[in-house]
Formats: sequence, C-alpha cells, structure tokens
Amino acid sequence: MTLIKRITVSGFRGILSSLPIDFFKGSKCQSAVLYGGNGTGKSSITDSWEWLTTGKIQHLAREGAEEGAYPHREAKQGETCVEIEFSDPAVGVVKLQFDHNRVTRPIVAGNLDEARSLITHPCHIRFGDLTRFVFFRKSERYDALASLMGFVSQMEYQKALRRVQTNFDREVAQLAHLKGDVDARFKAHFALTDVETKSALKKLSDTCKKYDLPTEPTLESTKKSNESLQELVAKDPRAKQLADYQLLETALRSCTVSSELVEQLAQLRDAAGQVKAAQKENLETQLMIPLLQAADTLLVKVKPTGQCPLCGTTFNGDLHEHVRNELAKLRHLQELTNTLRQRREAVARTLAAHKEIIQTFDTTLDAAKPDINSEALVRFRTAAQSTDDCVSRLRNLLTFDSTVIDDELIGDLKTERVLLTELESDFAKWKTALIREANSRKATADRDPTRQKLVTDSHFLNFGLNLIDELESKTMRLKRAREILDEYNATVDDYVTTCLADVQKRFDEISEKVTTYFEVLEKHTPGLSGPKLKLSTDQDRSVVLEVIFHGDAVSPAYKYLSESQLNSFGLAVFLASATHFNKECQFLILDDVVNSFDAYKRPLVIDLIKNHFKDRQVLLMTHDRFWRELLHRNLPTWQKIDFRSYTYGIGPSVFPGLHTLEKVGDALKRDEPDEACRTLFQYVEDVLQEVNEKFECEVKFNRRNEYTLETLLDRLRIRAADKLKPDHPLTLALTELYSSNAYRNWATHCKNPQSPIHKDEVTEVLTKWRAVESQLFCQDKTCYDIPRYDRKSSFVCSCGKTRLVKLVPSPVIVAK
Amino acid sequence: MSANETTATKFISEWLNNTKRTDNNSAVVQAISEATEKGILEEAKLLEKLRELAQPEREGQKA
Repeated sequence: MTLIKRITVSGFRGILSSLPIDFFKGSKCQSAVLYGGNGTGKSSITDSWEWLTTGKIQHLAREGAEEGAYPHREAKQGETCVEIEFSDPAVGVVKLQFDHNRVTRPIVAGNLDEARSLITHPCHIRFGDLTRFVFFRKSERYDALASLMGFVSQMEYQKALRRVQTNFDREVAQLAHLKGDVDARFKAHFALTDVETKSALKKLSDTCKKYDLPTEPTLESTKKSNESLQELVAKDPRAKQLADYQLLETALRSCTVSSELVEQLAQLRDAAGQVKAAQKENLETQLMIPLLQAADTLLVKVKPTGQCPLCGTTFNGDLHEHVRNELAKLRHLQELTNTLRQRREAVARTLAAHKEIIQTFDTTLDAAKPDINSEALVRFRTAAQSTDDCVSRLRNLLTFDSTVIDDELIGDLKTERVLLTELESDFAKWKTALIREANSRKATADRDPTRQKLVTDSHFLNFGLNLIDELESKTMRLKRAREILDEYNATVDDYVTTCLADVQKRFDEISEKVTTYFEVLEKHTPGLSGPKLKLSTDQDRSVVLEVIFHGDAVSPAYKYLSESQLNSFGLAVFLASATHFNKECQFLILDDVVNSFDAYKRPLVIDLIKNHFKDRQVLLMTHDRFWRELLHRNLPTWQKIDFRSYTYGIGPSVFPGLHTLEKVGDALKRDEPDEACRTLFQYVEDVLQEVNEKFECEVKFNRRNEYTLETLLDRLRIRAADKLKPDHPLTLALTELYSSNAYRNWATHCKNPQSPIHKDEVTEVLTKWRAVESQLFCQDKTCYDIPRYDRKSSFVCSCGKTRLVKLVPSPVIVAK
Repeated sequence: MSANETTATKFISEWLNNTKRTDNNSAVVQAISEATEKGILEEAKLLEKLRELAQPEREGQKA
C-alpha cells in the first residue's frame, strides 16, 4: 500500500513557480484540506496528478485542448514538471517533465511504470465529472461512468471498432450500388427481366449459330466463338468501320451523369442555408440539449426571472417557459442539422457512384478510331471533362465542417449547381449529336444488311461477354465483401458483449460499497435506498440508474432524484471504484465535489470520510469558506493548506491553513482587532447554529436575515442549564461568556462596527469561547464532533466517547 | 502508457487471444489484432486490411 509524501508542480497549467505540497508530517503521510478561491490554481494540482498517472488530461482533451495546453504560458523548456514522492521505496520519486519539442512524449525520471501500475483506476474526481454524470443522456452517462470507473480506453476501443464498421459498411453498400448498375446494363443488353447468366449465354450461343461457330452455351466456348467473329469483322474494312461506329455509340451511351445530382445539390444548399439561418452562435449549442432537457424536468417548480443559469441570456417571464423555448429552438436546429447530414450523404452516394466520363469513354472505345465530326467530339470531350472536374470539386466541397456553415459554402454549392446544370445540358447536347451522327454514319457507311447484321451480332457477342465478366467480377467482389463485413460485425458484437459483461462485473463488484456510501450520503432522505447501475442491452453503451424509492424499484432514477442526490450517486460510484480497484494506492483527490450539497448534506460527506476512509489518504479541495471551516473543525488531524491569492507570473500564494480561532489570535497579535472581531463573529455564529440544531434548542424563527448570534447563545445557555443543570461545566462556560462585559461590547460592535472595541476585550471573548468549545467538542482527535441530543437526557457525539449528562449532585464529562 | 491503458490493454489483448482461439485464426480477427497496438486501434490500418480481405482473389483463404 502506497501513500503520497509530496507533490511538486511547476510551470504547469496555472502554476509557474515550483509549488511543493507536503503530505508528510513526522513519520506519517496525512490527508489534507486545500482551500483556495476560484482561479487560485487548485485544479492545476488535480490536472498534474492526472497527467502523471495517466499521461493525458481527459477533461481538457474533451474540449480540444491537447498536451500543448499543459505548460504555463511563461514556462520555458524544462520548467514544466510534476514530481510525486511515493511512500513505497520501490517507487520513490517519479518526475514527468514536459518536452516542448515532443509534446506527447514527456521526459520521465524515476519508476513511472511502477507508479502507474499501483494506480490502475482513477483516484481523482472533479465536480465536473459529477455534473456530467447528472446531466448526460444514457450513452453519455456511460462515458461519464467510464471516466469514474476507469474503463475509458476499453470504451474508446469499442467506439473505434464501430467507426470502422460504419465506414466499411458504407463501402460495401457502394459495391452493391455498382453491382446494381451492372445488373441494369446486363438486363438491358440481353433484354432479360432477371440477371441470369445461363439465359444470356444461350442468347450468345444462338448468335454464334448464325455464323457456324461453336454453339456450346458455356463461357469458354462462347469466348472462342467471339474471337472468331471479331477476326471476321477485322478482316473486312467496311465491317470494321461499321463496328467502330457501333462502339462509339456504346461508348457514348456509357457516359452518364446522375439526373438526380442537380436536384440533390439544390436540396443540400437549402438545408445548409436553413441551418445557417437557425444557428444562434454555432452548431455546438446543440450540446445544450441534454442540459435543457434535464432543466425542463427540474425547473417545473422554479419561477425566477432575470438571467438564465443555463445559457446565461436574459429572459422575460417564467424560467421554465424560457428553457422550453430554448429547447424547442435547439431541437429545431438539430432537425435541420439532421436533414443537412442526410442530404449530404445522398449527394455523397451519387458522387461516389459517378464514373469518370472521359475514362469510361476512352476505355469503352478502346483502340477504335471511328471517323467522326472532330468538332463535335472535341466539344463532347470538353463538356465531359468539365463535368468530371465539377464532380471532383463537389467531392472536395462535401468535406465541409457541418458545425460551421458559412456563406462561402452556400455560395459555392449554388455556383456548382448552376454550372453543373449548364454542363449537363451541354454534355447531353453533344452526346446526342454524336450518337445521332454515329447512327447516321452507320446507316450510310454500308447498306449491306448482311454486313450490318454481322457488326451488330459481333458487338452483341463481344459486349455481352464483357458484361458477363464484369457481372461475375462485381458479384464475387460484393459476395466476398459481405462475408468479411458479416464476420467483422459478429466480431465487433462479440467485443461489445464481452465488454458489457466486464463492465457489469465491475458494477456488481462495487455495488455493495456504492449502496453503503450512497445511503450514508442520503441518510436524511426518507425512503431512498438501494442504488444500482444497470446496463441497457438495447444499445452499445448505455446505463440506467435504479434506486429503491419508498419500497419500489425506480428506473431510471432520474424520475425522482434531485441533482444533489444524483451527485451522491456519482460520488458513491467513484469512491467505491477508486477504493475497490486501487488496491495498492490509498490516495484520493476530491476536487470541489460538494458544490451541489447543501449545509445539511455536507457533514454527511465528513461522516463518510471519517467512517469509511480513515485508512485512506485524501486531498480534499474546496473554494467554499464554510465547508473549509467545517472540515477544519471535524478533521483536526488533517493538514490544512490555503491558497490565499494568485499571481499570473508565479501561481498561488501558499500558507498553512490556520484554524479560524488561530486566525483570530494571529489578527490580535498583529493588532488588528476589527479583523479579529469580524472573523470571530462569523465563526462563533456558524458554530452556534450547528450546536443549536444538535441540542434541539428552541430558537425564535425570524425571516429577516439579521443578527442572530446573541439569540443563539442565549437559547443555548438556557438549554444547557435546563438539560445539564446550571452548574454543569458547559453551562458555566456559556454563562461566563454571556454575562461578561467584553462579550456585550463585542456583540454590540458586531452589530454596529461604529461602536468601539478594544483588543483586550476580543482577547477575553476568544479565551471564554475556547473554554466553551473545550466543553462542547469531543476531544478525540478523530471525532471532534458536537454532541447531539439523544431525546432522553444526554448529548452524545458521533463516536460515542463524549457524553454530556445531567449528574446528581454534580454533572461531569464522562469519557468511555 | 498509463495504468488505465494497462488495464484496457490487458482486457483487449485477452479478448483478442480468446477470439483468435475460438474463431480458429480468423483473418478478420487477425486484421484487428494487427491494427491494435497497446490497446489502441489504428482505424485507417484496419479499414485497409478489411479492404484487402474483401478482394475476391483472397477467397481461397479463410475469412
């Protein structure tokens, strides 16, 4: 089992100067609370950990920020590094140094492989990971879970297999299209309703019979007969001339441009224009759809006005209405984008099927050189070449980025469509003219019907055999490709099944822990228990959450769970995975994970850490001052680190995180009574609120957000006197504080800062308050809890070692 | 290579080996295997291999 002794970061993300964070104190590696406001560089620590332990920072990669974004902008070569000292001597110190010349290959010092082999699963989590878990759709939640549970690479492999499958499937579909084209020509040539080689050979055999050639209806025999017939034509110059015209006509008829292309281009241009008109900023706004869908469900009862917390725009009227409108707009945009995609695919299919005209013409004509109007042929070739060029440009044009539709694209589509219309017309005109001329030349070249019949039959035979060859080739190719595709599909399906089984196995392995942790976090939610992760079998990658809600299994759990309850679910999954799968590393980083938890739920996170992670080493980061106070108070043995301010050219200013009462003492030493006064006031009021709740004090409710310290202290004093008697040390300490002049002056100063306060008076209040705390808090360092009223006659802390009881004749503190 | 990739690599490698055994050296599985390096699939390489396999002259070989 390894722990972390020190993390040192420099020149990385927001941290420029070398920043060491020590977890080692005496002979022990400790947990730590790292407090810092927004933008002070806390998350750079998490990023640095992720970089060293996995080689990549996933949340940056999702935003398109790759390794080049890791160094601080002012860091020079050799200055960007992360160094981690492990307690395990076999690993020791491991350092990763960013190399500006090879950004994906950092320079490694120490036993990095050994370090990474200890951390087989992610042991860090950010608030953003939980947010993704809450708001994403089923398949996206699967991705978020992959991140929480450490099977990202496995899932990426699956996605890659599927992408290849899609591409290969498209290529096979194209082969089928080409085979369909041959089928059509085959049927037309042989005047058959079905593609039957046997019937075609029979027809060819019948033709051979007319010239006393071998008539066995086999391919081999017919090919020999064909050679003989071709020789017969070649020996007769007039027949040869006729055959050349015949070949020209066939070559011309083989040259086609899809009649659908112009209309498809017009539709594509319309779709692109509509998307451009509908898009507010860019198409990526569609990423908001899942968020808005969640909000649509959640905001039914919320009716604030002003600025939308989702998209940031100002709205008038009901927020829910606003969200629905935004959702409707984005859905419309999504529909338009889908239409654009479909039309683009339609054009792409047509373009893929386009056979280059010039090449087709030349290949078909082969060596034949029919005597023909050279100008018409030149015009035909020019139109054909221009059409081929236009198709080529359209192929390039189709690679446009569908998230950025601009006027240039729409303009280009229009220009090419207009040009193609003209070219099509020109091409058709010269093609028809040449066919007409070929027919005319054929008719006048030789009027001998026997010779004309010979040429027609030789053409029928020769082209018929070519078509049979082509058909066989295309059929074979398609058959083979489909076999490979079928096998590939089966293989990918097998991977997906194996992968899902593996993921389900992981879920099952951690389910007990997930339940335990979730139920600790949701202790105060009646009727909620039994969280489960279930894989959907209808999709590759999808997961649904299930919970027991008042005795019934509810799936998906989103029907009833709030955002914070879903966050509890996500946190429970992460903690269960990190602890179950990381057998060799006890370190955990929790980066601002309680943001959606209210003041009632946060202490439950502390309960969870204290009771289930006492053997783990935790780095807990927060920007929340109140949460920090709670952590400091409840986790007294942890290291406390404060990032007080941030300077661009340096990084965060790091100070030991003082307990608030130590800060008050520090301010008094610096002769800053006002600061001491203010800090002490906030702290005492916070603690009194918590104590009053646990002691179940009767406090008059007021809706005004006004000064409550005096009321809270007074009611607590009365409660203690009532339940513990007036001479109980706690009652005495409270009375001592409450009745002192120093407290009176301090309380008045807190209400009205204009009233004078002397440093000695604050010192006296501080001393008397410390006396109260020494009676209030459990003095066990691992507990340090405030005792709670047990509804009988005593107050008991969570570890049970401190029990405040009414004793007769004298009350005492009994330690177990 | 990261630790996470090590886990994934192991999973992918085991799956490939099992599939190879089950499918009696299938050329498709072999192609996937050859396009896989350290748990990462080179998609272009695999597509090219599938195209090669789809050529009819290779039909004599087992798919």
